[in-house]
Amino acid sequence: MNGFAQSSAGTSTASFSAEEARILSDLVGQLADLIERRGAPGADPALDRLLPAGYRDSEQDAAEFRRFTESDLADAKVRNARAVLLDLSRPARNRKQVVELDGEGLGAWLRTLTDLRLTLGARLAVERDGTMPSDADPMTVAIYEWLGFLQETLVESTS
Amino acid sequence: MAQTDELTDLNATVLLDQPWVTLVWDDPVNLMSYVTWVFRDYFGFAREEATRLMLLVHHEGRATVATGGREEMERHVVALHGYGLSASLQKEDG
Repeated sequence: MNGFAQSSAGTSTASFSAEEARILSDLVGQLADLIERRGAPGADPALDRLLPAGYRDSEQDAAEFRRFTESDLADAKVRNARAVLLDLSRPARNRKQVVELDGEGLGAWLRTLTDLRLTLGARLAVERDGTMPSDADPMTVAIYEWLGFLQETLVESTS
Repeated sequence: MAQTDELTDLNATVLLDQPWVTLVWDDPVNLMSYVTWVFRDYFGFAREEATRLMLLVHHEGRATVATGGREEMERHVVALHGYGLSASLQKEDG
């Protein structure tokens, strides 16, 4: 399992196995579906974290803010997810899914990895101090940590 | 002309609303390195300032990352939500 690294051209590159690319694509597709099929706020803690309130001291201001901004914010998140899916669907090289990012692609990946971790974090009910509940599903925890590793290496690869 | 300019400046100051602030809140999921990267990417802060603000969020539970007019703060908040940070706006002394 490899993370992202900076290439000699200054781009951020990673090489995924077919299995890793499949898992990641599956998760990103689910994320886009979750956002597109969202209901009213308050029904799903993951969506409440992805599309949070802009005001914490006034429900009325928060509702107004949401009315004017939520649709564009949700669209942007889905667009980022679709960009990541496209990057993961390019022809494989030597059975490896090679991803090379800079500029917009980098922003889409960092945001989408964040949104995936926020969603899984809500599903796992990660504690306020970042610890996992004792009954957390080990496979979900492993995926959450893998996404964190990808994101950490992607951030590092930009500097 | 100079006097008119001064008057305009004075009006702008006197008529300004109470300032609003953009707050970023600590959350258990976002990586410290990523939050620092967002502050650099979005606000254009130098690494040192971005790191200082990130640590403030981490240790104090929240940090003020911008101050100004309400509409400007709303733009910041929606942009920070786009990055997945936990952000909100309120009046400065709120």
